[in-house]
Amino acid sequence: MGRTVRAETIVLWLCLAVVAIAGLAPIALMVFESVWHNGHFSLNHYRELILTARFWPLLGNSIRLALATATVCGLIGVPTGIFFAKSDLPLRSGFMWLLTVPFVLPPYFIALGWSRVVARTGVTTSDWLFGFGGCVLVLSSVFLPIVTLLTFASASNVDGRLEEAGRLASGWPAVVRRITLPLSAPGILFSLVLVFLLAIGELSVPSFLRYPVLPVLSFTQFAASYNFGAATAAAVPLAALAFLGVLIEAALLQNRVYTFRSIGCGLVIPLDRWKPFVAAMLGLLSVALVILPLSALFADAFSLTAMREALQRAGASVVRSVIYSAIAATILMTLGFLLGHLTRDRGQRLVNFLTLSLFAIPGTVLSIGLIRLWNSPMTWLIYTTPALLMLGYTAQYCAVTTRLSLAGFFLIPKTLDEAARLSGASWARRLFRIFVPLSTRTLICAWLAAYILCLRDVPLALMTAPPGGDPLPARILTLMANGAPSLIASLCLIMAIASLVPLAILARVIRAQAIPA
Amino acid sequence: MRNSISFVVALALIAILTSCRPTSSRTVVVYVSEDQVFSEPILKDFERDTGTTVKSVFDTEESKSTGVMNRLIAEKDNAQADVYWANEPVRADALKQRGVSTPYVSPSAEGIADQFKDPDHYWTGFSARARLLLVNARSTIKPASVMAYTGPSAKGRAAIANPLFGTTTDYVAALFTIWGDDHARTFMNDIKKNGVKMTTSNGESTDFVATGQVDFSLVDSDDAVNLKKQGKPVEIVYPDQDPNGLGVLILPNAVALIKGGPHTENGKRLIDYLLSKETERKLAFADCAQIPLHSGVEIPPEIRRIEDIKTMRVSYADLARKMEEIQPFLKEWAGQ
Amino acid sequence: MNHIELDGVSKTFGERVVLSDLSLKIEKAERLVLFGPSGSGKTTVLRLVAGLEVPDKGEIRIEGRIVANSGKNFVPPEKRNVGMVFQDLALWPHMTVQQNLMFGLNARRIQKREAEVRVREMLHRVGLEHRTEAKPHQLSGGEQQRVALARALVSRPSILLMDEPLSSLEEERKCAIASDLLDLHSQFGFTLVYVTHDRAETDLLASRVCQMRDGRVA
Repeated sequence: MGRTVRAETIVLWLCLAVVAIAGLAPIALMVFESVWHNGHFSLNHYRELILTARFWPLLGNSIRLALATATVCGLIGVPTGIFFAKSDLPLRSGFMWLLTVPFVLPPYFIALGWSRVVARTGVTTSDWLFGFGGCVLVLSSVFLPIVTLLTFASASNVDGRLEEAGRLASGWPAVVRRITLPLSAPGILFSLVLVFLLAIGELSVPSFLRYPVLPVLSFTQFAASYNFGAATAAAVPLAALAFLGVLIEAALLQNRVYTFRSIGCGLVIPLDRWKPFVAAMLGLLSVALVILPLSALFADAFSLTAMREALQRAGASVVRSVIYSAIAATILMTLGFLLGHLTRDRGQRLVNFLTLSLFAIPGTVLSIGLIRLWNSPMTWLIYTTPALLMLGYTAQYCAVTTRLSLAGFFLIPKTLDEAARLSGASWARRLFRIFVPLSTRTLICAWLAAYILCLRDVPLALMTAPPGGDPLPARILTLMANGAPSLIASLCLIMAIASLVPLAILARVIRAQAIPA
Repeated sequence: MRNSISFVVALALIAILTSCRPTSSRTVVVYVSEDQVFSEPILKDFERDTGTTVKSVFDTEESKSTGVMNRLIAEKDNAQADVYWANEPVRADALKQRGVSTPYVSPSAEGIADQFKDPDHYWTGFSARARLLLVNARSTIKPASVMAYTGPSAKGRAAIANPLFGTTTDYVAALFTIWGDDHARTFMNDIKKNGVKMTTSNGESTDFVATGQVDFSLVDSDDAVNLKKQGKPVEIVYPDQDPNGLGVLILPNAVALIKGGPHTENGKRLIDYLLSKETERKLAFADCAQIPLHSGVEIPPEIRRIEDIKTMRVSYADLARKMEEIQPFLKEWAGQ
Repeated sequence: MNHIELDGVSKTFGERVVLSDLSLKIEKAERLVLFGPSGSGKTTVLRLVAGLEVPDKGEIRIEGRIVANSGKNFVPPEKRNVGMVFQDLALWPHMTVQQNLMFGLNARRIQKREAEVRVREMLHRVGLEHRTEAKPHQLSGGEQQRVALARALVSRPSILLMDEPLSSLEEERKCAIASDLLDLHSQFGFTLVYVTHDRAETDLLASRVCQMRDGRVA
């Protein structure tokens, strides 16, 4: 009999084509144009870049900032993650979600909040905030949840019986050090690599706090002179670093898969008389990193006139943001689910590598590529509509939904699929009748995560939204030029509500999942 | 094959959609470098008055004044915008140089001095900011000219925003144009020797003056007026007003029609609207307190009429060229 | 004619050789028990026949038709009409008993009315006609076993593969289900390939026993 092309093969290639069109094509075009000058190969842009007096200091600043942020996040995030997963601390899930808040907001919110704190306390020389220290503080607050949550997940994931066996022989500190931590190490390291990558690509915070880094140079080259070649050349070191990070990640996680499943109840750290102390420390941390800057930010929002003006100014943007994010989340959920499903046996590492690379590419870089690729009279349908933004969201965040879906698939016994195959069910029927119903929670989680990420995204919103179609985070940034603080505060509050409602739902879904059926 | 049929249909659809781009007759696309806070209400009024939908792209603080301009340049062969609303003529002039804009003589432009218009009608100025001296009320120095920066009493007591950015670049370029390179270079080096404090922005300069960290600084009129309105202890000085004086640098907004834009007729209508006396009045009473360029427009008490100001005689096209030319000097001066 | 033929089949997973050059002929309506210690490759034989694995080498024929030939001519499991009861039973947790049985009939596009009749009949045969609306987790171990068996047989496969399905049951239940299985076998006349390491089950069910050790028929 002849070989027929199977439906799943076609769908897999379609999914990969989407990823390629949305993410790989623009990046490839940019790289090509940065070395292709007037019809021949030239490294001029790179030579100029390296000869620029500012390049090396900026690269140094970028790396320094990312390293410092990752270090701070590691020092705080790993212990808190372990405590959240393994101790009998009261209110720990409350603390965990509270600390997650900065991550679901556009990163510049915390920076803006701190600048309000500084303004309110009347410190006029704000050197400590505007510079390296402030950047590390803000970026650490924003990215800390990545480390905390992934440490939490990895530590919860450690086979409880191993810890119980260890507990018979020694006290909890030794068990944490010798069993829990080493077994959670891949997850923790992955989270640190992620923080490093996100911090090195971050644009809005360093530019707001006036700390010169490479993404700001790249953005300026682009925004201030639309010099694609030079902008790309400035972005390539970032892309290379991102690539390196993903390679490290791949090496770390070789032959390891995440299964968010815990066997046995495992270790419980008895805090006893330390309880008030640890709770106080976490309370202090929450106040310092979350409550203080955000309350300073929102303080001006509670006036009726400011709120009314905000809604008048940005009502349409709010609606747009929600709609764009919802559409993108649906696309991302579907794409991630299909990619995860089709690669759960084979090709998983390649897809992970591909999508994670796109996740690590700074949004500014991706945006420049997208604009370059689609800015032509032929493709106005994409260039002048939100489609461009959707492509950007899809490329940037499909890693998240793909990974979440994969993690979900590992919870579904393979035999359920095999039994369905033997019953004569086609691939599509198995997908819709077996996998989709069994993955409801995974799908909800993936959708919400994608929604939150798209909603909080700044660079794509700023650079690829169509005329008159700017989402809220972009509008807040453009209104910030000479806008009244109360107006900005109200806008930020609206934005926060739009992000925090889905976060609360996510928290509920995850909690429901934690209760064994 | 059903599949191949749907494929062909999809291809045909794509072809149709890409070939005939719908141009709605009641839409206008405008790219805006003027602060969104001030420009958007005007555009909303235009929507309300004419029933035309305005689709706008605004600049952020970071990409200030250059982001959308460069987007216009990048879209030259695939124009998306009909109108560019620049916050200073230099940007509008750059578009003219690159063939992005097209001439348009608006009937509303009548009454605006030729000094504030492109001689070939590629752009027209309206509602302006001025570069003024902001002086702390308790200060013992009462500067009447920018020359005060080099005076001994100003040693370490004056501020200026980083000349690499924003309106300070315009000002320094204006000095170079009027005085000639050598003179201007000497002046800049002198004020540096005199211990001038370089701030990151005009906003920060105004803060420095208000809190008494310095005695005076060159700032934009809008920032100065705002600070005064808030009751801060500051005084506004229109510098160099003697008959032979240098004059005040006026930086109007400028509006240009984009070549090959999708809704050119609506674009012209929007330009007429922006250049009207009514728009100038609104911008004068808004927080930006911009100076109307038409005579006879009602103004708030904090600002002066354009005819009561001795303005710097400078061609904005020359200014644009000079700004580019002195970049290396400014970088060196600012230590970057 | 032999119903199932494995001809020189080899299978490795990574470094581990699971089957090497295995040949096996199974006659129609035979009740073959593959007996052997764990890791001897008996489950892999079932999975190769089912089409859940592809052989590295060798050929598999069902009713004379080549279903797998060194990975070249491969008939996927959904087209082999083979029933299987898995070790973990693999009942779909989100479906009722009725839906678990209907699934395969729907997939094979059997008319709804006819399918319903067949499901009712099959549930009656295994004594579960009163539990049609229950979800798998609401059933006892023995009942789950019967659902799995009913589901495997409801589409009338000519081959039934069973992978240690009774290992988790008590002795008494085992006997009851084994005798049900023998009844069903005599009624439907399928070819049974049954994998176990339990001597008692072998004695109860086998018309022929095939000892396996280290990937070969001993």
